[in-house]
Order: sequence, then C-alpha cells, then structure tokens
Amino acid sequence: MTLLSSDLKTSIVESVTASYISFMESITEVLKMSHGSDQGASIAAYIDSIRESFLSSSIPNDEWYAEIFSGKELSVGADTLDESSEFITAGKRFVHSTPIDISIMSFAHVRASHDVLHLAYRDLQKSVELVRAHYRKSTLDALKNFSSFLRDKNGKKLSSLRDIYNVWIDKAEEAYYTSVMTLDFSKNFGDMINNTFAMQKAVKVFRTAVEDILNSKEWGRFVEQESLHAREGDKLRFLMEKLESTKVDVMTQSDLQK
Amino acid sequence: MSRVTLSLERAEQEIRRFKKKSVQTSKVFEKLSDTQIGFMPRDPLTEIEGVTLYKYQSQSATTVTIPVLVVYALVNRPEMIDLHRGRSFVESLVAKGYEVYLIDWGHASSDDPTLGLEDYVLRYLDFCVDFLREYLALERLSLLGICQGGTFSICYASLFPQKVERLITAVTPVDFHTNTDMLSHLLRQVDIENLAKISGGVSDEFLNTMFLCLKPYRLMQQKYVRFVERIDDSVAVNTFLSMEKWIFDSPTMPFRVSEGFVKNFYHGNKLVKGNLSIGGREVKTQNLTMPILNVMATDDHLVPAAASQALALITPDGAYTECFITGGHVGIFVTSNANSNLADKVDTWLRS
Repeated sequence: MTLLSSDLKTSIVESVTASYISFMESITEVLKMSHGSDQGASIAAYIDSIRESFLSSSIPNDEWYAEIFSGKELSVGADTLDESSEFITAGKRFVHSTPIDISIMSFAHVRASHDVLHLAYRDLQKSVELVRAHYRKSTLDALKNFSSFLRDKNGKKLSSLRDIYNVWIDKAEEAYYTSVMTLDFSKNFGDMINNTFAMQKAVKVFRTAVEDILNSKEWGRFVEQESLHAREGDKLRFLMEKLESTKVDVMTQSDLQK
Repeated sequence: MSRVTLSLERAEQEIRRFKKKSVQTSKVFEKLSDTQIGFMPRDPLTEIEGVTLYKYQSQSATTVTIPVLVVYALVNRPEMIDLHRGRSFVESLVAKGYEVYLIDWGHASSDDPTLGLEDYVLRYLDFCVDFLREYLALERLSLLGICQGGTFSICYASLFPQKVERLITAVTPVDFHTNTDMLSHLLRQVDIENLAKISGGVSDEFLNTMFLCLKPYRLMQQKYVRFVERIDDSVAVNTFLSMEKWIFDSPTMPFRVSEGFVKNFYHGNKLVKGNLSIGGREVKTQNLTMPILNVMATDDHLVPAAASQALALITPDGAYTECFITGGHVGIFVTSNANSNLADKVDTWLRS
C-alpha cells in the first residue's frame, strides 16, 4: 500500500476523524462537569490528569500519541519490520524443520545471516525506543504548555472546540520542534534511519541465503530422498495393509475349512 | 475571565456537525487515482534520456519577449506550479505574456540509478538551455529555479554564467546548516550512501515520511480535520485531492544524485563553504554576476528564509535582490492570491 492509495487515505481520515471526535466529546464532558466554574481551568485540570497518568506510565502509550509517527502509513521501518518478522518466523520454522544431515556449509551460511538479522533487529528496536523517548518527552511538554495556556486568562479567547483543538496542535508542534531540534534527537533519529536500512539489508541477505539453500543440489537431493522415502513408505504401508488383509482372508478361509 | 468561553449547546452542535460531515468522506478518496493535475496545455520540444523540455502554450493576447525556463526539483513532480485552473503559477505567468518553458526530469530512477549531480546540472540542464538558446536565437536565457531546482540553477549559473541572462530562485536552499532547518537537522546523521545503496535511491515514501516528520500534527491530523470540515465544498475537496495527489506522487531520487545532493549540500554545506565541485568542475559563485531575484515564503517550513537568504552572502555585490511572498513553501505556488503575487513580483523584476 503506497502513501497515495485511496484505502490508506480513507483509513487515515477515519482515524483522524475518530480521534478528533473523541477529543471534542472529552472536552464537552469536562465542560458539563465544570458547572459554571472557569472552563479554561477545568479543561486544563483534565489535561493535567492525562499528563499525570502518562507520566506515571513507564511504557510510552503508543496508541495515544505515537501512532502518527509509528503507524504503518508513516514509519519507514514498519513494512520492513512486518516483513522481516514474518520472514524470521518462517526462517525459524525452516531451521527447526531442517534435518541435520543436509549440507552444513549452506546451513551455517543461513545461520550467520540469521544472526546478523537478529542483531540488526535488536539495534533497530533500541534506536526506535530512543526516538520514541523524545516523542514522549515532547508530548509531555506539549500537554504542559497546553494546560498553561488554558489556565492563562489573558490573550485570545477560545469560543469553539475547534479553537481549543487548534491550540493543542500549535502546542504539540512547538514542543515537537523543540524536542526534534536537539543534537540528541538528530543522532537518535539518524541511527533509527540507518538501522532501518541495515535491517532491510540483513533481510535481503537472509532471504538470499534461504533461497540459496532451497535452490541447492543438497536440498534437491534431500527433497528427492524424502519423497523417495515417502513413496517407499507408502508402498510399504500398502503392502503391510495388503498383508494384513491377506492374513485375515487366510485365517477366515482356514476357519471355514475347519 | 476564563480563556475558554464556550456554551454546551455550541459544543454539542459542533460535534453533531462534524460527525455528519465525516460520514461523507468514505468514498471521496476513490477519486484520488483519477484526479488530474497540471492543466495548462504544453508541448514537448525536445527530450534527453527521459528528461523532457516543455513549452507551455500561450493563450494571452499580450506577449513579453522574455522567455523563462523553469527548473523544478527532483523530489516532487513539477505539477505543483500548475495544479489546476486558478491555482497555477504557470497560468499567472502565461497570462502576463511570458513564454514559459519547463524541464520535466521524469522518473529517472527506473531508467538509471547511476545518474549523478553532474548528469542533471552539466548534461540535462545544459542540454535544455542550449536547445532553447538555439530555438529562441538568444545568447542567454532567464532561469527560474524552484526549491532544489533553484540550487541546481545556482550551480548551473555559476558554471555557465555566459548562458544565463537572469536568475530567479524561489524557496531555494543555499545554506543547509541554518539553526532552524529541521529537514537538514533530521538528515544530518543519516548514512545516505548506505541508504541509497540498499534501496537503489531515495524512495518517494522515505522522502514523504521525512516531509511529514517536519510538522506531523499539522500534516497528519489538522489537515484532515480541515478536509472533513470542508467536505461539502466541491472546489475545496478537488483542491485537496489535487494536493494529495501531487504531494504523494513523487519520484524516487536515483542513488547517485541523492547521495551527491545530501552529501554535498545537507552534510557538507559546500555551496556556502565554496568548495563544491560538480563533475570535477568547481562551482564558483563569484561568477553569479547576472541579476538575481531570490523569492522566499514567509512561512516556509521546508526551506527557512535564512537558508535561502544566504544566497546574498555568496553572490557579488549589486546583483542580488530578494523578496518575500506571504505563504508556505508550496502555498505560494498553489494559492491563487499568493501565486498571483509571485507572478507580479517576477514580472516586475524581469521587466526592470
């Protein structure tokens, strides 16, 4: 699915629409409960509580804030990760089901590239975590600034849910900008991109190694041998069954003769 | 008095209205693949290895005898300057009587991943300029470089000053290391050589992701909320679809040119440092003695004004003029008011 696909666009709009409606409904609930007290302060208290729960959570809540960064429509690594994880699983199945008597050299080759893939995957996960930590910080800062803005009685008044939402977007972008423009972010982001592509490369190498094995003579011979064994096994089973039935027939005959 | 003054009734009404509109969005994107962008009729004049030189047809009664060659970026398709009627910079220029030519770089990646900066600047651009000089029987030609195409034009004009009458650069990065340049900041630690080698170039998805990362909340959320709000307005919906089509229909940048561009400009900042070479030829910006107009957008999140303004520092005294158009990096070309302002500025300056 490319970024231009209509299905993806529809799903992005649906997701944004749902999150905006949820935002509006939450704010409206807060207004209902404010009972004539300062509306700005009431919404700010609600935002503070979100921030508190977010702050006390040790694991960043991806659903809440990171989807726009790590959703498959955006993440440069998401497709690769999906693809690679499927491939790793397939690879593991292959390795586990491979009898040990096939070519050791080819098998070792796959294992080496599998190890590289495993390390690349681990490095990528580590760098993604570091980048997400920046996003988490920027989200916390954005919530704080949003809340402060709502408590401030001076300045432009907000007279619609859309006005409030616009302020949230402004604050989120400001905090994001501040977080992204640090040297640490540049380093971590660069690492994440570099590791994503290192991962892609490792997937390609692993895939080639697996394909090499599947196309090798040893594998061909193994498959041939397996199928020969299977055919012989079938024949044997057939003969055994026939023998059993013959035995039964002979016994029946002899019983009858008696 | 509280910052927020909102009645419950109004809030509930807003939610109802938005929900009602959101139901209508489900089928809209089915039209995306059929959305046409680029409406001004144009004729191909010549072609070289997938790169085409076009001439826009003129329907204007008045003509100005100043041809302008538009040099667009590689990272997006050039239809941005000609989105559709009323939102076309080309239309505005043609209406003023200009002969507008365009280099369409095509989708080079599929043809040859080995293409480098030297191919684009020394071969393709030079080929098109020479073709037009002969076609128009002119010694020199005016170039209008946009964004990355502006950077290419500066390099070209430095290398072939005798062929360039005037140089216009619009939203063009020159200093790639300014403090507010987020794109540069994001790319600074990226191992572009490895990236481009593994994926055979810088893919459109990668580029688009980088662009979305510059303002994720606006570009991935607020923009779509606004779209839903305007779902009843067919003109707004069509414009939105045209923009989506243009934004996400970008070509892959071939391996060598992406590596060369990022290394020389984003990493090395060589244009400003004065140590840039293309195809073994030194780019001497002191050769930029032709009149130069540098156009910037007031709210450019891709190329901050400071990144463009550095052009003044590397050009000889007296040749340089600058101006600002209200709007964003893309907005100054696609919003009708802004592109008309832009065309006015360019027109006034070219006639001066």
